[in-house]
Amino acid sequence: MRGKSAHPAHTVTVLALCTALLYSQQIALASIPNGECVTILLIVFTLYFRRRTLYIIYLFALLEGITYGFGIWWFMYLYVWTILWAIVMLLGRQPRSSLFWAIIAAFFGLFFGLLCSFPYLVTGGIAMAFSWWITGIPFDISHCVFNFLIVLVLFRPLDRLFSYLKSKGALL
Amino acid sequence: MKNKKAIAAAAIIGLVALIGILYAAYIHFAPSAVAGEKHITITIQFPEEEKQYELDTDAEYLREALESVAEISGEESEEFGFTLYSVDGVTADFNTNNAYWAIYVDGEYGMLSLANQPVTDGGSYAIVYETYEG
Repeated sequence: MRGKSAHPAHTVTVLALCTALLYSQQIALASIPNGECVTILLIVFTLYFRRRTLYIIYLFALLEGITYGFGIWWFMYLYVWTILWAIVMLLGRQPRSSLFWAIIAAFFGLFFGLLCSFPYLVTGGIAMAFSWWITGIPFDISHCVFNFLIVLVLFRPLDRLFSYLKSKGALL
Repeated sequence: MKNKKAIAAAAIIGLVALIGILYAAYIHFAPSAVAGEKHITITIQFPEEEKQYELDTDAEYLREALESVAEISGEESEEFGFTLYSVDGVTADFNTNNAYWAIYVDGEYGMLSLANQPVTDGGSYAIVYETYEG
């Protein structure tokens, strides 16, 4: 398998399993305010799956919508994770340390509320978007700290695991 | 190597500084609640009728004040805090008929959720059943 294109069934299975992992951990950690492993998983997925990570992101968004309902928040999910994907695509062309990705994840967590406030620009104008963002800043700060720690701790073991799986031809 | 460490240190310092700036913005701009008794008006506009209450309350936020005059239910979420779904048994469901409960503060469309909207003396609050015509 190594060095050759994966069979389409293999590709679909791997992407489906990764989406299931992303979705199930989000549900499991839903009770922790802004505590999530979506960021660390998407960083690793993007480093290994590159463009095919977009399938995971949009399938994940669809599952989240089915679970929680397709409200305004759902439109945020359509672009906010894609922004993270684009950042990792851009910066992940060369090997980076755990600390580097932890800092990127921390900035992403800190600006998560700001990025998510964009739909409110459309529905309620700049005042509504601004107040929505401002009232959520404490959550953004906790998101930032959580992201930093989780990526700092989990990036290296996950990177090693994916590297091993790739060497065995188990990835794409 | 030294250069990389310096960049990482600068990024972390920048991050911490940014957290401080954002927290200062939160303290400065976020609406704050006022303790003590307040005289307020709450209007609930259902699809078929309207109820109005004048009350004296110690509630700091609108959710608590509304709960003192009406039976409400909703959902807590990490993204939005408390989302109001039902008032006195009347449910606004965005997923079935684009309906939602809008909050008006002194006649203006509210910018905050029920749990984050501070109550002020003399304030007028309306909870209105609305539908989105997309």
